[in-house]
Formats: sequence, C-alpha cells, structure tokens
Amino acid sequence: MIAVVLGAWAILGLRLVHLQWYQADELTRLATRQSEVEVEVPARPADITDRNGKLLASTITTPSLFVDPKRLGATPEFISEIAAAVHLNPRELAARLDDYRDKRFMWVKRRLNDDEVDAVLKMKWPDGSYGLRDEFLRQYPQDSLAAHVLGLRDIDGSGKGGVEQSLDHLIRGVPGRRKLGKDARGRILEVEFSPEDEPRQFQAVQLTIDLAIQMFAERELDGIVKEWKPRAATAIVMDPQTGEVLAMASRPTYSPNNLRDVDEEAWKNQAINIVYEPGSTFKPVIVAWALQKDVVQRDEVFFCENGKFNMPGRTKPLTDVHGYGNLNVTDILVKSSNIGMAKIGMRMESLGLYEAAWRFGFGRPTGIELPGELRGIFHPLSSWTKASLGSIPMGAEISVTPLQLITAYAALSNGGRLIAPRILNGVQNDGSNRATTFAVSMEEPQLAQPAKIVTKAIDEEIADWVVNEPLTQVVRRGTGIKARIPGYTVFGKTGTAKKWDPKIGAYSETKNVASFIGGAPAHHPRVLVLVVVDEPKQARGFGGVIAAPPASRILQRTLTHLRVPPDQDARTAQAIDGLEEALILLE
Amino acid sequence: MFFRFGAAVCLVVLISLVGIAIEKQNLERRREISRQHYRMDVLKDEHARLRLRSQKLAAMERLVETIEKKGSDLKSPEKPAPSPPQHEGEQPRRPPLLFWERPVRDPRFDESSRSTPR
Repeated sequence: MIAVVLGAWAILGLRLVHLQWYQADELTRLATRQSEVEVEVPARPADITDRNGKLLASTITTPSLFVDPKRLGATPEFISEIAAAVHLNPRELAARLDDYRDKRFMWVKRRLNDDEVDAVLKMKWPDGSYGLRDEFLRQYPQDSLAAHVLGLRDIDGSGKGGVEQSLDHLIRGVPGRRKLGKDARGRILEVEFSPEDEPRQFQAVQLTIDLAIQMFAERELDGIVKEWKPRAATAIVMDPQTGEVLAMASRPTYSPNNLRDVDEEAWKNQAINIVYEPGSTFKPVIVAWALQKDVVQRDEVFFCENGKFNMPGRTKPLTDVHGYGNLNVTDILVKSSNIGMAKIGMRMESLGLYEAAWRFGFGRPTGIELPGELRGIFHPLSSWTKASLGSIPMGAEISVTPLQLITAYAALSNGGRLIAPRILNGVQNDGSNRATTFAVSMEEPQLAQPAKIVTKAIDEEIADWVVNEPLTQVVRRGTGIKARIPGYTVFGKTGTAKKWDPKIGAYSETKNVASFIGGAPAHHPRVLVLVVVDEPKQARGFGGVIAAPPASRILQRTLTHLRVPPDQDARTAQAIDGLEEALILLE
Repeated sequence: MFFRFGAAVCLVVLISLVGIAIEKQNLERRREISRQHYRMDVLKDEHARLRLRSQKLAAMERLVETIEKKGSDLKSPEKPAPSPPQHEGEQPRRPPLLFWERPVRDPRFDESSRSTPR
C-alpha cells in the first residue's frame, strides 16, 4: 500500500518535473499566445508649423468602417442600408462585397464623419461582422495657403509632395507596440504600457515659412491671376542673409482639404518644378562675374550700336527696345541693354560665361528640402555656339528655376556668399513654440542648423556695388521704377523673356515670362522677393509692369511685418524721387 | 492530528485567498492604468481637435477676408471679464483684460468641432 502511494507521488513528481523543466518554454509560449496579443500603435504624424508656431498641418483621429464579409452574409436590403448610412453607391458596395465574399476583412469606408458613424452604430449588424477603427486624418487649417510647400498625406498616411514627402522621416515618427492581456473568451482585460515601447514622434516640424508673409505673397498672386490671367505664376520671399525661405507660393493651386477636380498644372510647385529662361534678371549675375574677373571696369563705357547690332555668329541682328549710344556698366543694367550685355559677353568668352553661371549655382539643384527640384537647363560648353556669347548674357539659352534665381540674388545681396536655401527650421519636442533642434532623424537630433555656405561666389565689395549701384538705379530710374517703396532703398531687376515656341521653332512674339526680383534695404538687404508670371495675357507683358508692382507690395508688407526700419528719411526720399522723375522726363 | 491537518488546510486556503485578493487588486490597478492611458490618448486627440479648430477659426486669410469684406465681426463685451479671486500674499490686482467674443457661430467651422464617439 505504502509502495503504491509512494509510486503515485513519484509519478506525480516526475510529471511536475517534466512540465516545469522540459515543457516549460513551450507551455509558456502557448499560454502567452492565448492570453496576450501585441498590436502596433502608429505614431501620430508630427504637426507642421510656420516659423512662429502657427499650425500649418495637424492630425486628428477619425473612425473607419470595416466588415468581415464572411460573417456579414449581407442581403441586398442590408447592403443598401449600409450604403445609405455611409453615403456609398449600393451597387458598387455590393460588387465589392461579392469580390471579398471569402475574405475576413474589407474596408467599407475610411474616415467617416460624425453623422455616418451615428448611422452605422444605429444599424443592426450580425455579431462580429463589423468594426470601427480609428485612423489618422491629416488636416490643413490654413487650407490652400502654402499648399505646394506642405504637400499632403494620402489615405495610407504616406507623404506626397512638399515637406510631407521630403521630411516624411521626421514627420511620421516611429510606431510603438502595446501588449493587450485578454481572457479565455478573447476579451481585452488590460493594456500593458511600457515607456520604451510607446510610439515616438516629434511634436512639430517647424518651417522657415512666415504665415503672414506667405499670405501677402498668395494674395498678390491672386491679384495677378485676376488681372493678367497668366498660365502660371510664382512668388518667393527669402532672407538673403540666411537663405531661409519666408514664403513660396504658386498659381494655379489647390486645397489639400479638398482634392476633387484639381487641375494637373496645380500640383506643380512653380518655384522648383518648372524652368524658364530668366531674361534680363540674369544680367546682373554676368556683370558681377565680369567685374570679379576684371574683364570689365565699373566706369567702362560700351557703345550700344543705337539699338541694332549685327553680332558675329548670329543670323538676326541683336536689338534693344530703345536705341542707345554709349552706356556705362550701370546704365546697361538700368536700361537693360541686350547689346551692351552681348558686348560684355564677347569680352568674357564662353568659359567666363559658363563659369559665371556655375559659380552662382545654376545648372544644379539648390538642395532645398522639397521634392522634385529641377536642376534647370544649362547646356555643356561643348554645345555652345558663337551666338551663345550674345544669348547667355541676356538670359536666353539657359533655363533656371525661380528658386535658383533668387538664390543667386541672395549671394549678390549678402556680400557674395552663395547660401543653400532652406525651408526646414527645426523640430519641436519640448512643448514650446520654438524649434530647439534640427534633426536628421529621430535617433540623431542635432543643434539648430546654421546657414549653409555652398561657396564664395564673388568678392563682398563687388556684390555690394552691384546691389547699391546698378540694381538700385534700376528701381530709381530704370525699368523697375514701379517697385519703389517710400522710405526704403529698393534694388531689383526686371525680366521679360520671350518663350520658345516648339510649334514654330522660334521665340514666340505673343508668349513671354514677366518677372521681377528685388529686395531692400539696399545697404543691408533683409528681404528678397521674386515674382514670375508665365504667359500673362498682355501682348507686351513687361516684367516692370506686370511683376514689379506686386513684388513691391509683398516687399513693403514684409519689411513692415519684420519691423525693418526705413533707411531713408521720408522727405529726402520724396525729394530724390521727384528729382529722378524729372530727370527721366528730361531724358 | 485532525486539528493540525485542518489548521494547515485553513492556512493554505487563507494564503490562497489573500493571494487571489492581491492578484485582483493588482489587476484592478493595471486596468486603472490602462484606462488612464486611454483617457490620455482621448485627451491628446481632443487637444489636437481643439487646437486645429482654434487655428482654423484664427486662420489669417479668413480673418483678413472678413475684415476686408465687412469689417471685423468681433465685438467688445458689455462688461469686463471677471478677475480671478485674490488670495492673501498675492500681487495686487491688475485691471481685468477685456475679452472679445464672436457674436455668431460660423457654420463653416462647426463640422470640425465634432467629437468622435468611442
């Protein structure tokens, strides 16, 4: 009897040892699988703010409806009821359910509104046949403002276009994991939180855009569209000292909150996704490099052939809008003489012209944190002809993006330093409205990014002279006279470039690109503005008439907004303006 | 012998009951933590909604448009906002700031103020 009892205990003991020793891992795994489930918790995409913390994009959660088609076993009446509740076409829904009849999961509609959710909850569903899952919905509170800079996030949360795409690695965050404890019936009993498994995301990604300046630019573009009905238009505002883009706007545009019937052209960020021949706005770059290389002198005079010049290598004579005799370097820019520029180009030769364009960043992307930036069209030196010596200096035979052009002018405005433009100010993760860190990734936060100098393009003295003499004179008494702002010394350059028409294989007489680029105050430029209007509906759509006035208004409002003090006494400015107007009339 | 056996069984049962009670308490605490986290998520979402709504209402373009069309629809209140009660040792009271209010609700922005049912 005792032996039987002892034997039984021994068997039990051995079984315990077997369970606890040999089968422990396997049984623990099975038990864990029955009682625990691990789910991925997506990170809330970071907000996007302007440089002052104003919200440009944010994320909220909205429920999405899914069904288990196998359990649903829906009748046509019930399908109609579902379709009516969530505003879908009953036939299409029935067809989809039919396709998914053997599957266990199907989205019915994602991101429902409140009424739809109420209607869904009121319906009598078969047990376990449907569910609502919270999903993130990206919202843009400023609507179409800075739409091209922001881009958007698609239904699956991937960034498309703008910073939503290019800074996706900072915005999307890192998903976390949560363990859910459940009972034998599969009901969730508890959610285990561990700080290291929580999703991680930045609070906000801060851009260099200033919302107020962005609005000034957008409203001026709206005015241009209304008045001149162009094919497209763009405006960029930049701080030339740091390369920070303060505003970037394009027309046509779209609302990221409503993507129905968006015109194909509206998707393009006209500041970086198109190229155009810059025309006369390219001339100061050539002059600056010619001075840098000592090819011309500041006080040198060129004979401008009274408006018609048979340049060697060109089939047609080169002409100016008005005929000029002798012009010095300043006046060549003030009068925007093509002949004068061609003569400077002949002096510089092909290599000098090529070097000038290359030194100011043309022919390569600027490196701004936006997707799809074009590099422009800048033919290799080997394909240039003799005619190129006349074309390149007046901004033909080369195509640039508006951002490349304003970046080159920033170099002229900041003492000759070619700075990479940027739109990312930093990331916020401390609850304040200030960007404290600049992050390459979630794992490698760094200190705020300093201005990135790409290269020293020209000497400071030459850059200052170009800005303070010819470019200031352009606005005082030249083609950019409509860009004057009382109290500020404005500098700038107009551009009117004929467009190449592939149909006729020549430059069009009716289609052109009107532009103006300018800044203030001339002695220490704080703001640069570029306005480009593509194909304005005006036979002689000059940059000084079409682009200069809106650029001037953007500049004036921006200077006021940034509290940049006027650099001229109002009465002195008035007197100078009066004197200059009298001189223009005398001429 | 029976007394000892009974006492041992009682002790074991007692210890088990105490263990079960502690385990239940532990589970309850963990559930409470789960609920707190859930509430935190809901509050974060609500915060995001309210922030979004406030930014929509204060969108620069909208305000400028309103002002340009018909002037601001903000009106000053009939009486100043009540100042918070003062306690001993606090700084002397400053005059209460005026608060500005919108006279009518803008239906364009009401749809964004909804709350998601849970």
